[in-house]
Amino acid sequence: MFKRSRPAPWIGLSLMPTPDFFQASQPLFEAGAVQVLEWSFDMGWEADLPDWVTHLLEFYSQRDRLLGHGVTYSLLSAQWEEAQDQWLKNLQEECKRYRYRHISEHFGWMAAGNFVQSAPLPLPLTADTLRLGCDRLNCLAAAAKVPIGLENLAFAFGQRDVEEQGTFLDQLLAHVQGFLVLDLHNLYCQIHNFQQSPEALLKRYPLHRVRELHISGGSWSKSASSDSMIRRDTHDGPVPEMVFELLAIALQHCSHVEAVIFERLGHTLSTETEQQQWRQDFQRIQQIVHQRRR
Amino acid sequence: MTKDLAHFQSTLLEILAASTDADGLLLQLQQEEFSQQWTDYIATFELPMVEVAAELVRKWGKRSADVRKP
Repeated sequence: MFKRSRPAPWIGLSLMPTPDFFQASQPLFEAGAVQVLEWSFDMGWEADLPDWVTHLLEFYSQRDRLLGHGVTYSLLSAQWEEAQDQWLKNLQEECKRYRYRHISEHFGWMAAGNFVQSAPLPLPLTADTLRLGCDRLNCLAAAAKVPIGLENLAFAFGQRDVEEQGTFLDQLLAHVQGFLVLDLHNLYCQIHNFQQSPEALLKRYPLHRVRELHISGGSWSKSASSDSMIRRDTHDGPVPEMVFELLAIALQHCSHVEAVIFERLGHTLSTETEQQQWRQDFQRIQQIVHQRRR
Repeated sequence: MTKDLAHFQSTLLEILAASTDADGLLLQLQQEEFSQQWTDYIATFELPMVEVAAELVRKWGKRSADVRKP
């Protein structure tokens, strides 16, 4: 008889501790348009953060509107290294300093052998890799003591990665009652690079677990081995039209979304034109989210 | 299993970091002595994406020795 409307997701930004981001985002913060803030906390552990960054973190933390998003945990690395132990200890301290609503990390791995860090890479779903991921999620949950989640990866070596990632994420997250951070530009990369249909690719993911959406732009690179253009998740350009369309579709299918986070890499908003375009993209996100409420 | 996966991961990163051409890189990966599950996985790799992975690892790869330097 009556259809009860769900509250609209909060719209926010991924915080970058750079002067260009500060300049570009200031009008949005001053207008109260940034309803939630996401912070890649491990990027700040070795940095000397400017005062305006810590003020923002405190402001959003005090209002329970701060989300944590790790980058370098390397969930699926086979070797457990001292660096990962230290990472978890740092996370515990981080969660004492600021109040995070939830903590997320990335699917995949980036450390192995002599490499303490590289780029996030996928792994196939097997009983062993699933067990490994579940163990590492247990460690993450124990350190964070708040709900934890994982973000889908843009990069895939081939079709097998594209086809398995949604199921792999579902089985990992089921183990800790975790949530999915669905990155729409990462989906767009796979839609283009592996000729996937948007609807079919979306259906591979556990949409009932989506608590947060990421939206961003990226760039193109030309493959040396073929004539094809590769879509790259570089977070340094305007949001493509198809990614806005994916946002509208995702909001229809994901009934538990709490936050939509707009991402842009620091040092990529150096001109007034780029900053205006970026704010226009933010306004477009607002329009799509508010249309979805009706 | 952990040793098997660790060998796959560390070898993959070393090959990606050292590569200069994707064709040779993929051939080298296919000739490595991995267990069957990793050989099967490598068989699904697409050349343009291997190129991208190599570029990413060369750009973002950080070795433990680099981190320890003052």
